[in-house]
Amino acid sequence: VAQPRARARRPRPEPSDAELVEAAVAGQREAFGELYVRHARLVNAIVLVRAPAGEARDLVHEVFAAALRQLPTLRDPSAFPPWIAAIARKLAALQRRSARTILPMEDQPVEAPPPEAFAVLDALRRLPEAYRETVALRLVAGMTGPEIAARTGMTPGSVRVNLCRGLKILRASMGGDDDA
Amino acid sequence: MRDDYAWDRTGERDAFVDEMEALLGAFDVQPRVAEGVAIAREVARPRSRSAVRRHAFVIAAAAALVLTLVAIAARGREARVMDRSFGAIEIPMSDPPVSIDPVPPEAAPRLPAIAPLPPLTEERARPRRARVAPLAAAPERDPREVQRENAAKIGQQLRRYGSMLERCVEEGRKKKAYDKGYFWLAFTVTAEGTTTNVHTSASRPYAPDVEACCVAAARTWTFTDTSTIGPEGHEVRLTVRLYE
Repeated sequence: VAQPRARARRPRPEPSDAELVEAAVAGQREAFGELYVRHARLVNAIVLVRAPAGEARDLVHEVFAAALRQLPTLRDPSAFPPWIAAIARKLAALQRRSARTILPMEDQPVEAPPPEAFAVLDALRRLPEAYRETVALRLVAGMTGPEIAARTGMTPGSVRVNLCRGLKILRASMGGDDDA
Repeated sequence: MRDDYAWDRTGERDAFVDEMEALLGAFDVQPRVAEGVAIAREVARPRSRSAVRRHAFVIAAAAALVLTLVAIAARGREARVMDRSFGAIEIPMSDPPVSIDPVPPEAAPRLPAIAPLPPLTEERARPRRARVAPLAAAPERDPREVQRENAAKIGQQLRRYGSMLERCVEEGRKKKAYDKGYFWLAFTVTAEGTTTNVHTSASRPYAPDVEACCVAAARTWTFTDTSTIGPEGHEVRLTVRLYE
């Protein structure tokens, strides 16, 4: 009697960044779409502390478009997150030189951040550059310290120090108690 | 320790971190695969233009410059008798737009005449047998005609969002009484019906708050009837006037 095949179906493992990069280089747009989903929040937080808030989303798109054009030059596909983070910093800095200041509105359209959020963002942007991005990744993108270290290529120790010192300054500038 | 909470959300809860996270989280994005695919599609689109199209752009730019200068001169003389309609939003039905507001309609450059095509509804009513017939044999539609159809569809759907832009202008006027100026609000409607590459240009005088408000509004817009919009999307440019 033939034994019925009873192979349990295992869920397919999530493709790694490196696999997605290779697929994207080969022309698979869905693979690039998946990379976008994974790392757009990282890029958004990076550009947000460097460029006007109203232009962040367009800048995120520009960063990914630039990344896709340069993707064949990426030597180590597993290093995609820190690589695209570097592109984001570069493009955001270029944007800042020609950027116009976009002021928060008192009465924003639907889903716009509240005015207090703009005040906090302003305080965040005034942090020393070394801490600014790390704190943004924690508070804007909601990443934990280990995630930030993995995505940016910084050592966990550096991330921890940046978070601790950055939050201390932010706490003081927002009028909170700063004895951590 | 509160450091631990900031580090990996363990340890003693830190109300300040929670509050900051809640406020700054408003700037976070919720990326979708479709957006990444759209970017990939945009990048894959050939960027080089034919010599004819390059020249056409130069000619259009030169014409726009001349028309702007004429308009500036005309406005200087006729400022007192300008149309007083408030915060007008004009939706150009041609794409790419070739006129600059405010330009009298009669002064705007005209597109070459296009031979009338059979009504679209008849073509659609016919049973589709394209899968049997070779693709090359299918009659190609004039791209300009498709562009016009897209523009008309988008223009129709845009009307429900006009009030959002008017509100932005009204709010801006509460802070500053503009006596002149306009800007362009430009964006691309994707085949999925969302907007992308939303930006403003040609601001005169500079009205950052109104522009930011309009850009934020346009990013929330969606379009349901996008059946004729190709993968490259359809570029739209609106003229938003600041003065009364």
